[in-house]
Amino acid sequence: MEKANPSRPSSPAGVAPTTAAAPTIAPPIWRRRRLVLGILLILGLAAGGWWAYQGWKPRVAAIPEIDLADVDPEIGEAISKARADVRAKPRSEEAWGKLAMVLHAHGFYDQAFACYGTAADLDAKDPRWPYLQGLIATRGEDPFTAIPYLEKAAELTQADSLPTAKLGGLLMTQGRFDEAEARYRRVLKERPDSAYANLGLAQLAMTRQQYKDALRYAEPVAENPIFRKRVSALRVAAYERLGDHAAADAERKRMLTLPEDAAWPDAGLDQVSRLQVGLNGRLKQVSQMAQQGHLESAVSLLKSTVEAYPNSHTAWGFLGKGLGDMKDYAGAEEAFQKAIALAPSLDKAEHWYYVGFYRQEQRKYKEAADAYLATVELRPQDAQAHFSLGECLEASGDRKGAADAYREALRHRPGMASARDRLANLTKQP
Amino acid sequence: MPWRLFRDLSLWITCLLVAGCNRTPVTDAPKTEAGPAWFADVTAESRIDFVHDPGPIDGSYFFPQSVGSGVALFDFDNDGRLDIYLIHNAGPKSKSKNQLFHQQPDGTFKDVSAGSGVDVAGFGMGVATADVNNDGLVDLLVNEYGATRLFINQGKGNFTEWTAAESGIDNPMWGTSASFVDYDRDGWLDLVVVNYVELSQTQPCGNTAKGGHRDYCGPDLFKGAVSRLYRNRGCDKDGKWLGFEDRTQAAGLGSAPGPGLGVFCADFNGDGWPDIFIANDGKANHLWINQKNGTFKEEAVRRGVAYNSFGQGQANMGIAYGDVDGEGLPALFVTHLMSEEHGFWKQGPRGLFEEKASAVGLTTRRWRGTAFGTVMADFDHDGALDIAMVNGGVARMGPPTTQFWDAYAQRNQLFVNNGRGHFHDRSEDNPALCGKPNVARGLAVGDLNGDGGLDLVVTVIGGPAQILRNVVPRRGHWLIVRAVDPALKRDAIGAEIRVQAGNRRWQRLVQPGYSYMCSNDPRAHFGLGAADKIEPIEVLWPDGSLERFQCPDVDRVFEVQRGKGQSVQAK
Repeated sequence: MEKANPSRPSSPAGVAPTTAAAPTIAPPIWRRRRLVLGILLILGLAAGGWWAYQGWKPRVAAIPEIDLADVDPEIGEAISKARADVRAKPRSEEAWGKLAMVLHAHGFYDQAFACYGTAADLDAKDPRWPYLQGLIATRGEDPFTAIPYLEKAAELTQADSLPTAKLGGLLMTQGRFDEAEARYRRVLKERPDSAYANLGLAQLAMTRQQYKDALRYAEPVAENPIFRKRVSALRVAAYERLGDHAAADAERKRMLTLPEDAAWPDAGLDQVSRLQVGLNGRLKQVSQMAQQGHLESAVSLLKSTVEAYPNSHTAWGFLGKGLGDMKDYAGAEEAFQKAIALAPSLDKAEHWYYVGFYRQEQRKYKEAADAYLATVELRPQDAQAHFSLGECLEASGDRKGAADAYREALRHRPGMASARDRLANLTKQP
Repeated sequence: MPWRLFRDLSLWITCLLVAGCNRTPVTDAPKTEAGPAWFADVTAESRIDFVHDPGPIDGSYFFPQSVGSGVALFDFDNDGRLDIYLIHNAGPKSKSKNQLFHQQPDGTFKDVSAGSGVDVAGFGMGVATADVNNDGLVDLLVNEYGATRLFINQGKGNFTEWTAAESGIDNPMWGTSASFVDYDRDGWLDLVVVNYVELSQTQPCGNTAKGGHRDYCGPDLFKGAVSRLYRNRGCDKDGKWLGFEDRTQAAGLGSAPGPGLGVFCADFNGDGWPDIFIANDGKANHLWINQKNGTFKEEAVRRGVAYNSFGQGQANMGIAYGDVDGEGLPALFVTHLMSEEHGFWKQGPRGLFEEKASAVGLTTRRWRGTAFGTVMADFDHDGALDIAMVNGGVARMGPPTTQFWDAYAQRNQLFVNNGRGHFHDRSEDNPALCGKPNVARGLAVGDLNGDGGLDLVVTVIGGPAQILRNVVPRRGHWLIVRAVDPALKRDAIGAEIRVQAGNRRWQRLVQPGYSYMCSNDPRAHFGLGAADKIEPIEVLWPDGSLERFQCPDVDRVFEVQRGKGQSVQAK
């Protein structure tokens, strides 16, 4: 409440006088006070605005500290580079995102989570960051902390997307069935053929013991290579619950013929995976190259890998396999001998096995048998090594030794048909 | 005035901004009132001095190290008190030998390993106990990586190891859990040995471990192994026990290998014959249904226990089994990895199961972990089975630490049943069990101190075994039933004990082989709540006959002997 100003002339009913009277001039002291107050108010508002802006604008967090002392040097280098990029462009969403992914790829989850958060603050429209935050959160002690991140990612992507599917699964796991259903239905409205949504609704129907509905929703995804085995299992259970044992049995038989479900395509995680470096990253890359038939490139990478990691028996073993696949058996054996020299005793068994394998390929049966013997001495449970030993002994004319080796293989793997057949053959022949 | 207005406005804006920034609220488990602790750590006063040796930490990351070892609670000298057998995993050349602890009349334990015959070294995994030769003394079976070893109890604390040739148990594979069960109902206990994987490759595992360090492998890289079934051959006409014979292939178990970790034998389909459930790590579980002719048929998918509710095979490990809601149909609980959800398969109708972990509250918890050993037990005697589980990682959760196993440590968990089959996480109230992170594997349950309350023993990789005494205040009434068949001179493994008070009914199975690589108190334990009187106890013996026994009072151990009750027509 403002106090009445005794110096101000009053007018009736508060109406300002209309006469052209000379303007009343406030005494200088009041003018100065008003001026000071006005300046103070402007300054205050400016400070408040600045304060509010600081609170509102996306915060750029400090770059997380990582102890790289005991880290694979290549990984350390990748992390340092990503950190330097962030330092150079502290308000770059891409730089923060890249740092987060590099950290994520190498298991620094807490730090990666924080960096994804900063990237998300800098660009709230990129669904990758909350999605990958969600994925990290699902690894923690409370996976349901991932829900808000997946919700955010789901909002930023099309309805029929992996974040929605993962979110639906998590909601169901937490018992929030109605929310999960609402999400799946929203997807189905836009994409009636959505595999995620149909599968999710089929699973929900099973949970609610609505088995006919479960079968109905399962139908469109029954042949989906990502889901078909699990859909088949669901159908077996649904038929069983409905009392249709014949259908359940038929479906069960079909299920046994199905290959394992393929992995869900996950572009976000693939991007992270591609950033993996270091020995394990290189070996992963080698495996992918070999799977794609690029053997020469794989061996070339392996040769540089053993140069970079000369004390890694694993790297030498991989090189041995690569050379062996390229039919360079002498080179393969040399690489495996290096691996044997470097490996701890239990790991030597694996390398000895491959020495035997490539010697056998060269029909050097006696030498191969020696290598297999070294394998089973270190790893007596290895049914395959016993069997291969039997083959080599048989080829060398040691029928009794071969029979013993086949028997040993069968001891360890009773259902090993090849060993049983070979043994039967040996005992049948005079 | 302007300053105050400015201050208020600023505060208001700040509050708005803070609320606006917090766009991702963290969900939390519902808070419940804190309660008293249910367990006290009495390891030191029990004089159990056992520190598990998992073998050298030499950079080879030998897979069996991370699987851990179990524990057996059994009364080897028939003095009425449970004794404890603890296993090391440091290899046959190690100085660390398994330890046998005999319980003294004052409740402390004395290490009687030396000269017992069971003080052996090996890559020790699981343990099973039962009287295999029906001589009235409980025998011991130890699974190792590379062997299954049978120790016949000679009495007076002495055991003799039978060679594979003598016992007929030739299992050179990687044995994990084992269980005795009379699958052919001939009065001789047969044996299921669960095998894990064929460890025939070495792979560089641990790609995602911090900094690219190597870590333990998982089972997915290896071929799952065949679990074995051994039939007890009984005695010859001179009374000499003949050992076992391998019936794996003939019985059908050889047709479906799998990376088995847990086993539980019970009548899953209600036909009166025991079936075999095997928890497979990372694959569909197996439920071998007894065909009553010496063979089994695998029906896990058909009966709903192969996969989780999403139709996925997961890392199935420890097993608990029991009727949690008093409806008369036991449920199956199987522990899993931290990145998965534990499986709770509710039964109904008889023989069919549905995964319902979220519906019974098991997915609402304060924290989670990779759980191995687990038991369903009525710790507070309110008449409802609670669930305890012990946790410990299989992959390093941080960079290598000075104490190697610390990087794998997690906290255990306790879920309390509200009496209607719904569970609440009470881990925070139980620091002795759940307070300190550990790399736990085995969890065994039994009334160690004879006060009627169920105590726990926890085994930890590379750490001391823990004895946890039940200290639940104001526990309800209780009853422990020991079911014995005098003709067989042993506990009637496979018998079902039924107790009724008013309109409440309970049932328990006499089967010590459950949890993870452990053998538990073979007696049936009942929490009775406020009931201080019970109806006659019904015992469904393993051969299908039913008897009733009058139990004079509660809060006691009551022994029922086959043939001494009132015979009843079995339904």
